[in-house]
Amino acid sequence: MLNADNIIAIFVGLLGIIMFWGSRTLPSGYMPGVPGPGFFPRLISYGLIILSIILLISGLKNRKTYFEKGFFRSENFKDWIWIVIATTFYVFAWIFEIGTFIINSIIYFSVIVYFFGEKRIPYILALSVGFTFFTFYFFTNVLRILL
Amino acid sequence: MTAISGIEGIFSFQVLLFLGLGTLLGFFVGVLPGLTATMAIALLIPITFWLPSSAGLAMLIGVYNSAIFAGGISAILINTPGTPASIASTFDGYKIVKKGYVHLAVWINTFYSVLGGIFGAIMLAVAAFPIARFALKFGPAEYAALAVFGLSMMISVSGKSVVKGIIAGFLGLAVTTIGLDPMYATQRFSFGSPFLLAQISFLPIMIGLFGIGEILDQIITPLQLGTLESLKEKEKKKHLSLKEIWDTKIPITLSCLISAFIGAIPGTGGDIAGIISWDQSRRISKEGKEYGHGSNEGLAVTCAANNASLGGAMTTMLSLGLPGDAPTAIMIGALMMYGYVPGPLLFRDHMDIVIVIVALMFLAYVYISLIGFAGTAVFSKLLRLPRPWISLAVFCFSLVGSYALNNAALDVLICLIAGIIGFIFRRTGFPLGPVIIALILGPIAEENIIRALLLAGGNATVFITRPISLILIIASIISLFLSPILNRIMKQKEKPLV
Repeated sequence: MLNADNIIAIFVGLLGIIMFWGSRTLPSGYMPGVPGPGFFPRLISYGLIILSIILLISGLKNRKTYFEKGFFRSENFKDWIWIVIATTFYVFAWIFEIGTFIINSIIYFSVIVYFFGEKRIPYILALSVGFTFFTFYFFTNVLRILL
Repeated sequence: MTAISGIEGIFSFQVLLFLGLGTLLGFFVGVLPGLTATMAIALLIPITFWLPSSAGLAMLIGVYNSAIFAGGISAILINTPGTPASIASTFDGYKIVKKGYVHLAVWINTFYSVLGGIFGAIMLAVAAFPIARFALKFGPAEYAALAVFGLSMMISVSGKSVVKGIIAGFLGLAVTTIGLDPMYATQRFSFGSPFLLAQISFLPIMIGLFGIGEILDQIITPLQLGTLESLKEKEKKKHLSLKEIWDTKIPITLSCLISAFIGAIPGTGGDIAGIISWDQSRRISKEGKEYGHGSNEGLAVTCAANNASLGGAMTTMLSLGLPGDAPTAIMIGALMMYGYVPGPLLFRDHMDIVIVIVALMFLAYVYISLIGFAGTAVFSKLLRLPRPWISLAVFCFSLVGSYALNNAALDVLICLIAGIIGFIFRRTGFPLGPVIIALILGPIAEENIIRALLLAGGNATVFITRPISLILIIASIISLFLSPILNRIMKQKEKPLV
């Protein structure tokens, strides 16, 4: 059983501290009465730290759980993980220019549509090939955006 | 060309054809997340160069109006705003769909978009100069106050937990501090990366939070629109009754007025207009409590608002030569390409083209109503398609759309990360609205607060000595502090004395 509020409060608090630490070298201002580049990041970091404390206290009081027992072992969550992993690989292939848009997309769309729940092979092939070519044609020929 | 021949020219086959084509293209661009009206207009400029001015302008105006209308359809059906102007449509639109009233939600989008658009066009026709003069009074202090006023709405869109809403907003603000700061060009949290130095674009985050996040959430909790019988019953309500439409008159008029003025302020747009109109209408409406929980009126207000802002943006563009938003900035270029210089002299020297543009704005909404009402049944049936197909379409267009914004593969990564964060937010009850408000208004607030103080020599009273700024600051204080207190008092009064 997890109380997500507490976990998020800790993350938000840490982010606030990191922001405060990162902004310490930024000048607060160059002219009296006028904020400098470090002013707003510091203001936001104070806000994040204070709000994380409030959330932590209310989280401890409420003891509300968002992820029920077995959530991470459920079949749906496994599908979720596979989709996120496949998307991550697809995005990194795009960033590092591995393969081509058409080949990568056909493979990626086939994988994710399967985990979305479409188990019929002909449909998977039709959807992945169809979406890939439609997107490629629309973006490169109509919108003149090279993929 | 006289004014009369200008009007006659509009009804030529060529103009009507290109207006129709532009409306159709704008529809596709608007409905697909990541593709914006700005992008489509920019792409069309070289094509319209070869057309007569009225036909070319017809195509551009068709795209501009239609894209904003169509952005609402994806916001309603898949909870992913097709354009930034439709962000506020997600507050109520998707919740109406979740209740099973798919047809009704799409109808509201069409009807009130057309209503708002026509209102904006009327404002352009009758009050171009007064509105533009008002917009010109906006200096850095007013922009800063407007942005702060907008940021105060983070509480209104927070839903059940105000603390979570403000945290979400602060996280959005934290993202806006990455890259070069807007005034001094100092590097902040960019870690030497050229991509981060150029600041993170807000559109991939919006697409990720809403589009990818929603689909990831639906993998765990599939969307239930109800049983087929209950859906059939709900589908019988295909539109609002005349009485229901009449009941929305005050919030709709208010939102159209606010949006036309906000649209006229250079550098703003339908996104800010939609959010502010939604919040202000919520305050004055009898149905205010229902806003954010699937209120028909809440959706109607946002649809009317973002389309009414277009008339405002065109007003500033034509009368002052200043762009009200990004698409009108490109349209200024198109007008100059045809030999017309937007500004006060345009009204004196080329009144005919002003009349043509106003008439095209009206005509564009005739086309939009045709597409909208004729397509309502088709759009509402889209959700009956198998879920895997819809999910694939959303993933595909969200990822490719994110890339298309700047031709940057790293934007796709930002979209994916935002999607996972959007999923976590949904599971843990954090609202998404405040993040988007912060992403849009954070940089405007920071830049203009610093600029206003620099111009005033560090004197902070600049924000309360200028009338528009003072009004907006008072409105922000009311929005931030007084409204929650009054709401709490009202709730306590409503409690039974047991």
